[in-house]
Formats: sequence, C-alpha cells, structure tokens
Amino acid sequence: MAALKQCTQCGACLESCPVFLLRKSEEFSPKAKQNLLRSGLNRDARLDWRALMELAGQCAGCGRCKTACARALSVPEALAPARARQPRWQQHFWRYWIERGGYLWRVAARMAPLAPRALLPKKLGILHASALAMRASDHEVSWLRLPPQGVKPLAGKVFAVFGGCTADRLRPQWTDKAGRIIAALGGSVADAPGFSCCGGTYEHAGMLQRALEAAQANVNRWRALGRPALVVFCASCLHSLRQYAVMDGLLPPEEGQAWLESLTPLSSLFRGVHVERTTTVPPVAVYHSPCHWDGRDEDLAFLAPLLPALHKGRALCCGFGGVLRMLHPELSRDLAEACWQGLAPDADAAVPVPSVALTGCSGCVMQLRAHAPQGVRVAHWLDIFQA
Amino acid sequence: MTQTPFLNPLPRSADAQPYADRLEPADMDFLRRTLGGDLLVTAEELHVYASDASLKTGSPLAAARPRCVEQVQDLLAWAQDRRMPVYVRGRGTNLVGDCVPVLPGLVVSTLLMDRIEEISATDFVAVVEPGLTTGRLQDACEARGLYYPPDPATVRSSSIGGNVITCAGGMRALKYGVTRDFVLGIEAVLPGGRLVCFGGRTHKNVVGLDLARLMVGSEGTLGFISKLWLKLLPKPEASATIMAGYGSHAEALGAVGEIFAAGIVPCALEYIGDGIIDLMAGSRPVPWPREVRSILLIRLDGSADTLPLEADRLLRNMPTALWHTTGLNPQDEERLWEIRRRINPTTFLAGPDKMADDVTVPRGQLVRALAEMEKIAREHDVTFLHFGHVGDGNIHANILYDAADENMARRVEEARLGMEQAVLRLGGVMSGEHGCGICKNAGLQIPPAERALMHDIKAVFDPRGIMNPGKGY
Repeated sequence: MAALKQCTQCGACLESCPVFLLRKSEEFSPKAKQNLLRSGLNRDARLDWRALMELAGQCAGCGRCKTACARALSVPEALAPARARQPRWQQHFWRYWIERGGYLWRVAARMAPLAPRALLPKKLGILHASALAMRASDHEVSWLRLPPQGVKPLAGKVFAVFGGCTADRLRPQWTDKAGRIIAALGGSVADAPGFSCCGGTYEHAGMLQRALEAAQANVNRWRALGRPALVVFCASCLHSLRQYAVMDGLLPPEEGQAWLESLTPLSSLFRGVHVERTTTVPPVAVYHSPCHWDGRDEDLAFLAPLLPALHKGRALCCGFGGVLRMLHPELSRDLAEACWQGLAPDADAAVPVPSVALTGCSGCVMQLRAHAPQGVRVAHWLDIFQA
Repeated sequence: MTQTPFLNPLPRSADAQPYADRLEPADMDFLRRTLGGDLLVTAEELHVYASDASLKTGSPLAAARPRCVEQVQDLLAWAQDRRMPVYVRGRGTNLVGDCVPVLPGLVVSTLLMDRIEEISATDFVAVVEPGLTTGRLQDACEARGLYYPPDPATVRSSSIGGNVITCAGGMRALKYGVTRDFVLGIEAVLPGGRLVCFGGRTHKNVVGLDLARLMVGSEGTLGFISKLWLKLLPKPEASATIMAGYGSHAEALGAVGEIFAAGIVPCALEYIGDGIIDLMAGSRPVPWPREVRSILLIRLDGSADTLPLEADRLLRNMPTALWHTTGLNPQDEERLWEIRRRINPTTFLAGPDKMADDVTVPRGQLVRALAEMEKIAREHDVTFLHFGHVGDGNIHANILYDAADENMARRVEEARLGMEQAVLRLGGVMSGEHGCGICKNAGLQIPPAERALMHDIKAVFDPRGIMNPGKGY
C-alpha cells in the first residue's frame, strides 16, 4: 500500500472523534492512530502488529477526523488497507454475515425476542440488542405529506432507488415509499433496480477486492438502466457510493463525474416543493445527524424548516460502524449511549423530553433503536412521511 | 519524526543520583496501586505520548492518567524519590516539544482532570481543572453571558492547562491580553507531592510574590497545575469584521499605524502575506481583486448600537486600502474568518512539511523584520509564507518544504536560525506564543546571568530537576 501522509499531530481531529471524546485518552485519538499505523507500516520493531491493530481498530468509521483535518487524513481510510494486510483478519465471518445477511438478519430479528438476555454471554448480549432493533418497525406515523394536487417538478425524468442492504432485507417499505414519493413528484422509477450492497462495510472491513466488486456490480447495473439519477435515502450508502468516483480502475474520469452527478439524496428532491405538515406533529423530536453526511446534512436541511421543534443536540457518532459493532461491541454500545446523552436536551434547557428520534441513515436507525432509552421511538424520516 | 539534541541544559541538581531510566517491579507495583486501570504501559499505547506537534520523539516509560489531585501528589512524591523525569501533557498540541519525554520518564496526562468546578457570574471567575478544552470553557462561559477571551488557533483542540503552561496568545490578545492576563490563581502539585496554591478568585492581589503568574508560561518545568482560577469578562454584545486589501506589506502595516494613531484598538488585527494570498487565489475563488498583495483582517467588538459607527470610523482611517469588505452580522463575519482559518491547510499546498515559527518584534519593526526574513528566505531558496497577529508584532513565519530532501531540510534550519537572529537584532523575541521547548535555544536571547537566575528559581520548585528536564530555558 502507499505510504501514509504524515500527521502533523496538530490535534484538530480530537474534538471530532467520538471514540476519543468517550475514552478521554490520547491513544484513542485519530492522530495517535494515524501515527501508530504509519509506524507499524514502516516496520517499527517496538510495535506488535496485532496489538497495534487492536488499538487502532477501535475506530467508529465515522470519518469525522477527515473533515476536521487540514490534510484530510482519515483513520477509516488508513485502517482499511492495514486490515487488508492482516493475515488472520475475520474476513470469512464478515463475508458470511454480509452475503447471507438476508437470511441471518431476518432470523436474528425474529429469534432475538425468544432468547433470554440473562443467559447470553456479554458480547452476544449487545448483539442481541442489535438483533432486536432489526425487527420490523411498528412506528410509522404521518407528520409530513405532499399536497394531493402538488407540483410535478420531476416530470419526464427517470430515477432508480438505491435502497441498500438494510432496506432490502429489513425495511423494504422505505424503498417502496421512496418510489411513491418520486412518482408523486412526477418522476418515473425504474422497476426492480437490483443493486447490490454499496460496499461500505467491505471497505471498512479491509476487504478491498470485494468492495471493488460490489462497486463494479452497482455501476454495471446503473449503466444497464441507462444511467438514471440514483436516489438514495441512507447517508452511509450515499457516502460509499460517492467513493466510487475515486476508486482505482472503476470509472473513467468523465463517467465518474456523471456517476457523482447521478447520486441524489432523496430529501434533495423536495427543493422548491411545498410539503404539508399534518396535525399529528409532536411538540419536539430529536434528530441524529449521520456522520456520513460529512458535515453537509441534506436531510436536516429538508426537515428543519418543516419541523421547527426538531432538536439536534450535541451528539456525535451513534457507534454503528459495521466492523466496530462486531469487533468491539462494548465500545459500539458505549458510543450509542453517549450519543443518546448528547441527543437529550440540556438539563437547564426549556425543552421537553422527546419521545421520537429521527435520522437518515439505515444503520443509525438500527443502532439507535438497539440502545434507545425506554419510551423513545427511533425512525428514519421516511417513516414520518405519508406517501 | 526526529530526535533532537538538547538546546537547553538539563537542570542542575545537588545530588549525584542519576535520573531513573527504567521502571523496576516495585515502581510498577506503586503505579498500579496508585492508578489502577489508568496506567498505560504497552509500546502501542505509549506511541502517541512519545511526541507532540513538534514531531520530535522521546521515550515514555509509562503514561499516568490521574483523576484527582491526591493521585498526582502520590505520583510526584514517588517521582521525586526515584528522580524520575515527569512530563505533563494535555492534548499534545505543543509545537516546540514541551510534551516530549526527552529522557525516559513518566508522562502524566491531564485529560481525566477536566471538570469545570464553577463559573461565577458575580465574581467573574471560572474555576477549572487543567484537562478541560479551552473551547469548552469558552462555550460554557458564553452560555452564561460571560467571556474568556484568550483564543489560540488551537482553542478547540488544546487544553486550558496547556494554554496556561505556555501562556497561549491568539487573535484577541491585542485588546484583551494573553493567557497570563486571565490567570488569577493556581493550585499546583510540586515535586515531592506538596500541594500549593497561589492567588485566588480576586481580580487584584499584590500580597507577596506573584508565583501564580510565574508558573504561567513555565513550560511544565515547575510543577503540575491541578486547578485554575481564571478571570472572566462580560461577553461583548456584538462584533464586526473588516477585511481590507493593500498593494504591499508596507502599505498594510502603515495602515496599522494609522489605525492605532486614530485611537482605535481592535479586538483582533491579523495580516495575511502575499505567498498565502497567491496560494489561496490559486486554489479557490477569493473575494479580493488581483492587485491585492497584503490583507488586514480586523475585528471590533462592543455594543450593537455603536459598532456600525465604529466600523465606519475605522474605514475612514484606512484610506490606502485598495479594496475592503465588511461583516456586520455573525454569518458575514464567519465568511471572512473562515478565510483566516483556511491559512493552515492552504500552506500545505506549498509543501508536505512545515517549519512553524512565531517570532515577535516591537510593532514599529514589523516592516523591517518582514523584509529581512524574506531576504533570508530568498538567500536560502526556501518557501516562506507568513501571516500573523500584526497588532502584537507576532509573525507566524512558516517555511514549507519536503523533509525527505535532506539538502532542503538543512537550508530550512539555517534559514530559521537566520530569521531568529535577525529578529533578535531588531529587539524582538524568538517566540511570542509557542515557547522554546527543545526546538529553540533560549540562550541566544537570554543573557547568562538572567538564565542562571531562572535555573536557580526552578531548583527551588524542583530541586531534583524532574519536571520536564531540558525544556524552555
């Protein structure tokens, strides 16, 4: 792999890193991990590669460090190739998990309530909570809708919906609803688009070849559909799809630009469109901004004017990062709990305790649901949209 | 990362016992008993504690993460007994190696001691622990209508303890002063474990020697700061920002003189040099016209009613500006300060490595100092990019280069030394903000008798020379 750019240790990443803020210890900071990985790759004899990866691997994969860094250094991007060169990396397990997720995830969701939590080992207990979160949502409500005789700004345009693994396997209603919204705005939706996993989890896991294969399959499918606008409602999927433009050998530059231009956050389709509020909008809801918007959250820009009582809070990452949940479930849980604390209104603020948390990333929905305080519901914003 | 020789002498000590350079089993027993799980000992965990933003490296034997002052007292009693070097650090953002364990020793992290004990709106005092991030202190103060003005560029990433131990400056220093001006009291643990408290929560205090402010800027050589009493001000109601472009540095710096002559003291008065202007213009759209070669960025603060009038008065006193733009609301101001914040990442367009210096000259010598430094940069054929707190005479002198090119790295070091000497000839100082650490030879600036007195003072606080040996002076 190429040598890592040297981190200047300026520390600008520290306040951006949810793991550092949780642990309050410098060895967990992005700057520490960057330099540790760099020294490891330079074969510093004092460092044990396995111990190094165990420490550096305690990364949420959120990419906030890249946004904060003057040199755009990213720990997840440095970790991926480092993991790839680990001989006994748990690739087999992940491949199994992701590829057969359709079976496993559904079974996990259905079996989870049957397993007595007290009998589960500690790590399994946390995964059990995740499995419970995968059960189908029973909390669809209608707060927002398009007026019956609204404008049709998408008339004459063709779209395909990229649902992602979670929607494909556990929440097909999200993909269906995205299609109905596009249709209501006048657009046509390609039937059964047949996209595969976005590859983000493969990438994070260091399975770079499989990530490339997933990307290749999706690009081929997009080409076969006639390069339509690709509508995405999961911030993490969108983030991964955007990376295709810079993947070695995947897209020629001109087509890479066309690919980027085709990627369309679902919420961006509402620009200039009148959306109605129903009478059931609650007094306050919290909003978790997914890390993978990289600081430019289009969903929040869409929702904030419609839901003036939406409270964003101070939360950082929810700790979903796919590999993190499997390798360091305690850290993933601690991040989720810290995230929930950050989402809660300040004790001295005159804001009532919310009963609903919204977000725009499939993974964040699952993670937040798995660790939600009693009585707080978690929903993708699509769940509150009537269409 | 590079190892550096000692530029400042190791402390003198009356005893002949050498520094401890390893942890014996009894030491490990003590540390585990004292710290429990808040002790780091593996090479992987300690990797980050070996260095700081100077990129110099040292040899940490272990890193301690105390949660309370009693643990620190135990640690410094043990360290004194063992003559074990102690290196206190917050977030390791120091640029001159103040956090680097140049001799094998114990690193003590302040990050678990980060509480805000009190913010008093009646006494205008904050009582805080050293590991607190300065930006969080500012946020907490401002939420209560109070104001902690010192704002080094690392305000969001550095700790208040680190700011105090280096006497951090920042952009508001022109009007409000530096960190030292806001330290009312310090509680500290001295080598041997003695807990002392200097000053307190009054805004005035002339009883005895001012040892609290002696510790400010002492680069970790005197003791461990465990608690701080900081002065607060009422938060200004509003602010306004003006960015103005000039045809040359001489014209921009001349305008600074005119601003002061008119009796205006801005909150911040920054300048951006031509090298950075060119890099910025080459990388993305910029608001200023092509003929601008030097930029002033000025912030005023005060009452919302009078600020627009103050801004007008300021502009009337800047007749030689080729161009200007004004931000009178937070959004417009933010757009202008975003340009200032882009300087750091932008400099890296000129090279992968950076030598960052922070020389300071008397205000009246700024034009001459910049001319001499530019001449030295040309003579050594290095890329010199400068900006700074022009109101304070503080120049951030950056040389961008490729450290892998040994010839270039040598020329950069020679140019840096040449610039420092030029600054000293003009009555300036080698550092206005960063300190000397292990990167600057304080002996070039401080005469022998005065330097010896400093060493004697250190010996009173730290008789066995365990606190950050070889740093600063």
